Amino acid sequence: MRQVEFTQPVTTTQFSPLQLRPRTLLSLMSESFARWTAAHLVPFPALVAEHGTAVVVQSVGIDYAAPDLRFDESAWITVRCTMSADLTGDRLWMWVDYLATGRLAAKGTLIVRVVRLADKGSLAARPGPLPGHLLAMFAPGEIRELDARQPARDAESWPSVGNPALTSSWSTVLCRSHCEVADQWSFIEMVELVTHARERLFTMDVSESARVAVAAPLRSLRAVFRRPMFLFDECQVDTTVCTAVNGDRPVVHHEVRGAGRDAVHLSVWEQLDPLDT
Amino acid sequence: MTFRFTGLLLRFVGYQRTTEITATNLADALRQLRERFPQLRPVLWDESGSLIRVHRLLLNGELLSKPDDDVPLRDTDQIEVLTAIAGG
Repeated sequence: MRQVEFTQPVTTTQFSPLQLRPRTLLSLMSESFARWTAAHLVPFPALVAEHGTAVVVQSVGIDYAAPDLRFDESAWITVRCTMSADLTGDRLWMWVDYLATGRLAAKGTLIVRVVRLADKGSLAARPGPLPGHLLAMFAPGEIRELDARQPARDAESWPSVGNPALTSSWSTVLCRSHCEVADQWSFIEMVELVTHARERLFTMDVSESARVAVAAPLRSLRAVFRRPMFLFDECQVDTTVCTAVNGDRPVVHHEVRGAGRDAVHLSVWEQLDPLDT
Repeated sequence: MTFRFTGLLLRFVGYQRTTEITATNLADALRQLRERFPQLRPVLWDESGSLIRVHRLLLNGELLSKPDDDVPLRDTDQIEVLTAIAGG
């Protein structure tokens, strides 16, 4: 499989005191996608403007390597990615390695649904496969069967899921800072939003579960984007802290809905390290 | 009747969340909407004048699966125009 690699300087805003922020990794993931398509297909703007094709994120996964990379350990971070298309060209799957100081700092996965644009002004779209001439640009080993349900299954298999200890609900409005060029939510900013929901718990509750939610580093994250939301949509973030079962790690589960609606638009699971004390 | 806009359509109607139109059926309402917001034309309608199916019309909260021209409208009706998905 063909690889794309790039290296960037490290800055303070990429890190929390605990580790690389999810937002940093997702932002580099988005850049990786653009770099891979530019190197091996067509640049992203040409994909949209000339081929009437774009993508929406269906799921993302992050797995942090232990020990966590800290800000002062490396001046540079290197990102390596590979990409595959499924047999029909309906989905693309990208694998990303984040490396620093000669070791793996985290791994990421990105699954996107290919969409065909209805008009280039609004970027309104409908699901549809990659045009045949673009699918043909993938190398033979890069086209294979892919299981788009895998990220959700990963998270649902985490033992702590289903053992709720603390729940919270928070309503907010999606603004431009949460959205991308089509005024549709950005996967980067929506994951950032739920990490915000988790950390708010600390200001609202004095229980051990609230302490876990901010004190422990993330070990893994899975996000499944079920149906998009748009600029100025009111959304409700329902957060559940699930405490550790049988020595496994605690999990914080978020579901994002339209205000007053039942349908879940986004599900995110954050698996945290257990607290030592 | 009232048209209500959300999401990516807002920028094509000058960020007006709602606009009032006097019409007795859907065809007349949509015609007046096109005239009021010409920027909406290439977004909501194809070259043959048919509504592009990535957008959905909800009449008083109910999806109009086949938005026929002769759907009757009352003054109190509200039509919400929704977009299912955008590429980005």
